[in-house]
Amino acid sequence: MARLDKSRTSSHQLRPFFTSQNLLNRADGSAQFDFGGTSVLCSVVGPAEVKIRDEKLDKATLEVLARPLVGVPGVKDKTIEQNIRETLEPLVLSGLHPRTLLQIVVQTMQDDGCVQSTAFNATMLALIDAGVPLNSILGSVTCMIDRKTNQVLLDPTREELAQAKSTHVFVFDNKAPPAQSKGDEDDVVMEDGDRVEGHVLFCESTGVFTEAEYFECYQVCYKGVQTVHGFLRTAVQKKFEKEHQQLQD
Amino acid sequence: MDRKRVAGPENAVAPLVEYPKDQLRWAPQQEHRHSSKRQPEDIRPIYLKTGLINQANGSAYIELERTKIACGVYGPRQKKASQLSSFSGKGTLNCEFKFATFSCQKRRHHIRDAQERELSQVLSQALAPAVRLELFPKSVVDVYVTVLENDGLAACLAAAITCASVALAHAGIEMLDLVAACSGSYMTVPRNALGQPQTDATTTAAGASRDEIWMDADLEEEKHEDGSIVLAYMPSLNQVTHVLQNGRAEGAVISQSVESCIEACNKIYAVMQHSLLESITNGKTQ
Amino acid sequence: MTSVAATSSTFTFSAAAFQRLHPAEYFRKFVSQGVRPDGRLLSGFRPTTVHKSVVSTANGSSMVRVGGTTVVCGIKAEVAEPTLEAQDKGYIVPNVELSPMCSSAFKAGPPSEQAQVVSDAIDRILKDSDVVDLEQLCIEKGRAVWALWADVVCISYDGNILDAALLAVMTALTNVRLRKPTYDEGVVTVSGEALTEENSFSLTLTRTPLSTTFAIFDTPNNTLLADPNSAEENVSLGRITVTLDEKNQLCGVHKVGSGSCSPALIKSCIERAKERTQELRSLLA
Repeated sequence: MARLDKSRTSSHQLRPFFTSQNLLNRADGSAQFDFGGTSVLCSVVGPAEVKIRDEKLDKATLEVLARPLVGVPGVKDKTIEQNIRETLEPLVLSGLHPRTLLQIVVQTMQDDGCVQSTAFNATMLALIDAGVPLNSILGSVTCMIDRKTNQVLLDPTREELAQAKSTHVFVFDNKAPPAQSKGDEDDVVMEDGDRVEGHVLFCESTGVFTEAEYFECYQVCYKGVQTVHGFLRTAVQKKFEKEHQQLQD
Repeated sequence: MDRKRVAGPENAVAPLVEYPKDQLRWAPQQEHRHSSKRQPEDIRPIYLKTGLINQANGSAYIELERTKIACGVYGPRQKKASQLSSFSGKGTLNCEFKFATFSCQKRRHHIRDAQERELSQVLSQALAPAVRLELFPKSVVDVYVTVLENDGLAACLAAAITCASVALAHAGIEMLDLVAACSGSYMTVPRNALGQPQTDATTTAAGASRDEIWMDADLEEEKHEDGSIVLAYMPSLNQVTHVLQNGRAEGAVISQSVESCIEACNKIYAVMQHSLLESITNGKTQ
Repeated sequence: MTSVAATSSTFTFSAAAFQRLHPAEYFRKFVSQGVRPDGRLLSGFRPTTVHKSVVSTANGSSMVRVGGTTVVCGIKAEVAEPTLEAQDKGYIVPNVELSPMCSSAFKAGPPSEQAQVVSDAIDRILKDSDVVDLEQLCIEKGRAVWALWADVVCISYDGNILDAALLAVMTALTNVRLRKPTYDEGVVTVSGEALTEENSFSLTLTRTPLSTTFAIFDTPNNTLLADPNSAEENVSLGRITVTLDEKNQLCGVHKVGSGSCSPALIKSCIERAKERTQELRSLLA
């Protein structure tokens, strides 16, 4: 079926990715991540000195600051900050840098829908760029359900989001399922026999939707994230190859 | 613009209220108090309960018909670096008085205004003489009062003092005595009131009126008062800790009002003792 | 040396000291036995009560208690100009106040991050799930609309503030009574006579979403604790919140923090949330 976004032919197609790492020379790590017309720049500073008030004796303190496209941050940005921080806390091996601060600043550069997913991906690349030890890599995509057609659209644009009945942000990591997982019992089998798999790290679904729709989105996003993971891997690989070459020259 | 709250429209105002001309509005008359069968010296029935905030060291909730106030006490705890400007051998009593945004006729703001600041000050002045601050140097006791519904400002302040004092006792803070507080309003009441309200100044001044002291006035009664008094009193020591008088009244009326307030405070004291005893017996059974 | 060894072997904590020193370990001891320190089972919810019309100065109000958490929601109506994009739509503005009175965890001053996030979550549920058709709040198109300030004051904080606050806001919204306004040359007037069926109206809610929160304790086992209290929130690493309306349609699924969760775990949360919200709805009626 046709999408509002004319550049794409399928409802499960992602927009072209773009990334660029190490853009800011005064931060310890930085990265920009684009989903088509949406662009987020992220900088990472750390390990740095932490305020006594926020100091944790056994691990690093994570601080996330989200900056909107225009104006000053409001309550919406606080929610994004908390979402990113609480998702990253178990991912970062913060025990290696006790009593320090890891500051992440997320700046929206362009907004054409799915800012939160783009921010997650940008943050991930910036953390890798800063050399922060992590236990896995996360990837994020957003999908929505159209109000009229009830169709699941992956990675919607702003124009498409205006027609949304519900929106769903998903984050998955690239780890193998935990050792004690029960294999097939962890999956949900849909009415049409489809299997929903993958362990979710973060999800935020709003709007009105049914359980079946939720798990359909879950599955679509899980498959979408695999592409993102592949892209993140290539991006990091390319960057290291380039740095390696520069060292040899 | 407040960036840390969900933003609403900027210039919202309360709608105008139009009363139908034929509607009788309440006005003070002899032996006719607003919406109750009280005598001038009667106070509203009090519901007082301790221990509703389980994270606080002490807490109390007071209800006088429509007036509803909650109070939480924290401490004695370490002063913040900013408060600790110099060494002090005495502890500090820090009171914060807040109206909930929906507590009054007109919507209030989230940020503390001048009136709330003033009432915080009065609250701490009324309570501090009773608290043995010399027992916890370098520390602070925080008393937070939230008004959920305000039905008469003077009565609200008095209830807040009573409630905070019970919360302090519930927190186990050493005090010389409980502080009970009561308010009284000076009313000019037409002597032979019939159905029609008489608010015209000339008729009341012509000797057809009488000064009365109405204890624990509610909001509607307060609109007609000439002045009011709030008195905070330690019943077993027979000592007054704070008097707040405003408006116009003869010296004799003021002396009379102090007597009436003390009398009412003694009644309130019994309720305070009862609620504290109840908190102990409840604590034992749990 | 021997005396040291002897004393250390007999060294014991009181339960209270153990809880203070090793809160997570203390908690784990209970969870491994399938119970929680407050006597609940892992899937148990705290007793919940709902009261309507508790504040007469507000247009609609409610008081909700979930165990030790007590919140009061008061809705006050004011008149404001509509926005240019939505000329016939009013406003509903939810804000949650976590004052230093309700717990020592909160400081005086501007709202904490938690207060902001909870306010935003309720705001999004109201907007995205289309709870109230805002055209009901129109007074004069393009000129004047009602603005409903839904302020939630937390009296006593003991965890799970979102569930309690959302329940309070929904109860207060059903409790709202607005006087029928008259608009005349930029002035909105309401009658001052006693409230009757004729001179006032209530809001029609498209749906009433209610949420159920589970804390995730101990990864990777992902032990779920229903309706966490404040001590449990402090030791847990993540949470799952499921919001459902009366037709059991989902109005929100939010999973944050902790390790990864399987789809089956999310599904079990949804199932349990269905039972819980049914119970809550019987309180609302």
